[in-house]
Amino acid sequence: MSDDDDEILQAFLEESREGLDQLELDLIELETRPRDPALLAQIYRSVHSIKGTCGFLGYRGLEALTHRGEDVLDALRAGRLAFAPEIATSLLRLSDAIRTFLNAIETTGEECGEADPAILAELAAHVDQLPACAVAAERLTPAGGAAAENDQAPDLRSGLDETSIRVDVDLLDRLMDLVGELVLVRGTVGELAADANGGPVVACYRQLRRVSGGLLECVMRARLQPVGTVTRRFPRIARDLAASMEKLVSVELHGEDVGVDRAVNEALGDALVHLVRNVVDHGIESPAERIAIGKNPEGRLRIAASHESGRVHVEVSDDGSGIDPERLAARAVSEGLLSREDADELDAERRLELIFLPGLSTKASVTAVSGRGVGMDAVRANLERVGGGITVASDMGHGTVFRIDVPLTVAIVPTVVVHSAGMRYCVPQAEVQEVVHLGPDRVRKEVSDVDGARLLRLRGGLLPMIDLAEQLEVPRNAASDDITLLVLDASGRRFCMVVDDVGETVEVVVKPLTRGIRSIPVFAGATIMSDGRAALVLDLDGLATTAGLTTTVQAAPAEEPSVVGDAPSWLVATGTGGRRLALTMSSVWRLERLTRDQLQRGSQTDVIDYGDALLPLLRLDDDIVSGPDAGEVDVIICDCTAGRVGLVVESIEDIVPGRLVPSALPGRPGMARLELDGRLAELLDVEALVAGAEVFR
Amino acid sequence: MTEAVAGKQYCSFTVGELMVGIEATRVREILTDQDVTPVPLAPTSVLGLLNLRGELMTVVDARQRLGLSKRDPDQPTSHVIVSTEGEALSLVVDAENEIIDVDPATAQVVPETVRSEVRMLLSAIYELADGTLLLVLDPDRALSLIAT
Repeated sequence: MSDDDDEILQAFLEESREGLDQLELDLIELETRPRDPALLAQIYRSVHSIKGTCGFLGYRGLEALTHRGEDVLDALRAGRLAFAPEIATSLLRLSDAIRTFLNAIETTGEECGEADPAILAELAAHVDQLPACAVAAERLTPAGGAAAENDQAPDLRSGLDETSIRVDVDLLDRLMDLVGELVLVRGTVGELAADANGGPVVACYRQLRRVSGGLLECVMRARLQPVGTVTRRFPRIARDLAASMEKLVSVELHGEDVGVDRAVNEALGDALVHLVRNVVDHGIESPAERIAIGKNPEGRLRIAASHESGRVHVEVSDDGSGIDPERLAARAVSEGLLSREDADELDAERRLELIFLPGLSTKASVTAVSGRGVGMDAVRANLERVGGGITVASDMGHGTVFRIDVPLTVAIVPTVVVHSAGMRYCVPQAEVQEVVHLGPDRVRKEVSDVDGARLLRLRGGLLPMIDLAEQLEVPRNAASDDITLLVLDASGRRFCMVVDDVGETVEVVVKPLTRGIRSIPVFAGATIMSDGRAALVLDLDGLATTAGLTTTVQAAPAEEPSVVGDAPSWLVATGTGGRRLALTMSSVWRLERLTRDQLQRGSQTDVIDYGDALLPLLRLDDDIVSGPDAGEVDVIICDCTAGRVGLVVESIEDIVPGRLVPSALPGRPGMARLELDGRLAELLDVEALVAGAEVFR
Repeated sequence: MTEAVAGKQYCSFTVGELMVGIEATRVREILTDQDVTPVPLAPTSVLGLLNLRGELMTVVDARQRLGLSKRDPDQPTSHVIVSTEGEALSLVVDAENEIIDVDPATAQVVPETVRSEVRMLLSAIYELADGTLLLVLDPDRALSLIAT
């Protein structure tokens, strides 16, 4: 087959599958609006255009099959056949049969013989009840022919007006790779420019930064795909699933046109499949149960996507039975995932979070559809892999809401570079809670050896400790007296990892591993560093599993009741005036050390020269820009709804996890007081401070 | 060499004492002295990862794949970048030789006496005019035993 033919075939397969996705959605819609002529016309068009193309390509079996479907739709449109749910079922089966054909054509280039006679007969049965001559007459009349022509007309026209083209996704991935590299080269040129102290290199660098920034943004935008491409199949999935369990479920979709990177979209789709199955299987009650408690016999499932400051939120809500936090806790205890005492410490909200614990199944009886003890933990892990997360809220008897939050793009991920036994690795920054350096004294006091396993005593809690070089089976020189380690949180499993050294934070494009090394579970992918060498990106979940860390919730001290879920952590810093400040880690985007000449005084506000943009600086009360010109300052970059802002501090002290109850400071909006390690710190509410600052309005 | 019309062209390489050929159309380029990032926990014949102008690829040691001893770390090597199914691969050989034209009709079957793990990497053997044997390596199979 020539390349041209192959291209035509690929386009046919792609378009047909898209057509079928739409068809299935429309058929389900048809059950609520059986007489809607526009809807019927659209359904007819979907089938008709597949028939047209496969006739052209010479797939006679598929043509005959689609033709039979057309007959049914024709009769429906003409009002000769009254809509009945069985008809929708038959048409959905038609869609399945067409998919079977398409799959065969894709893999073998040939049709898989004739269509299944059962489906042909089933479709024929709907129209056979009608007077045969009526069908024939309809097709012969010029009016009928004209109608079909008209249906085709808008498609042709829109084809001509089209301002978009199809692009191979491999090409998009390659484009992203190249841009990623360009960003790295830009970093290197930036270093040269910094050394050059002005001159043409600096001007050149500025230009490069502007162009590459624009390019990056365009490529990111080109990779966006509507969420609908994955959510559109759920009405069908839920309907089939519900039918197999003798339940009734209707699916409502919102925000289908919200755009998200295709890689994120894929992860989102995988997560949603699990969720929708779980909801239909466990959440929605049987019609009889629903009627008995005064609910509509048909359960409702709503999938709503929306955009919010660079992130995409997807809410999956149902009006089913809800999740019982007590049962979840009891189950976690009985499966040995949680101690009775720890379970008692948890409030209802945290108990619900237990649903994401690896190894926890919510249904007493394992069903074929879902719930074999895998599922929700996998959902969370998949989402975290692309930098997303999921939370759950439930109202017993009234339903459950899962809230998914994913980044718009995954292409570029901030990572922390670590060195171990002469090699360097990238650790996803989102999973790094803190970096700890222990001198010989602290090693003696805080590291204990329990039966060959090392544990770190950290603020009263115990964390399992693994050595990266040991896990990777890389030999290295005798261990030194002091220890550098990262405290990590991989999908709720907290542990610490010993490394030789912790380097800078870099933003990297994570690429999939290549052949021969793809199945090593401790690596999530690889990337190219600014020196042009490849580096491996660690998969902390895989590392924890390889190291044999149990999934058990760690026994935690009373002041740290929750290693499940997201205990807030606080960043403690010394402010410019010597004040002790604290911020919630969730508002911190990155920590940077900048030279003073990167701080610039603006007319209304001070700014820092940061990456592609000038970031506004939040001024507390001190004049930080004037000051000695030499030296470096620590800057906390915060992520606010209004955008990113920088906060200059004297030094960064520590990251402290734990629940703290702040008390407000009268007369100082955005500030409160809290007690950390027995000393007071001022709690900054960055959002409130930004909202109060003139320049951000 | 215009008689290539009927014949087949192979890039030939020295691997230990062996002469290995790879179909010329599959060889993208040949490089020396590349910075390879070792990959812990990988199969022993995988030397690591290579970044070639933004494309990452697995680096495979031809010597170890062919059951020969490891090479002296100081010995110079060549990276043969070959296209395989789906992605490129760097095959590390000891030295690069000339391009050889052969008549496909003279291809011999790989003898049964060759060890099976080596035999499965080879697609044919040619006896050249000077009596040396050219072992034709199938790049698609270079990672097949260890492919994942």
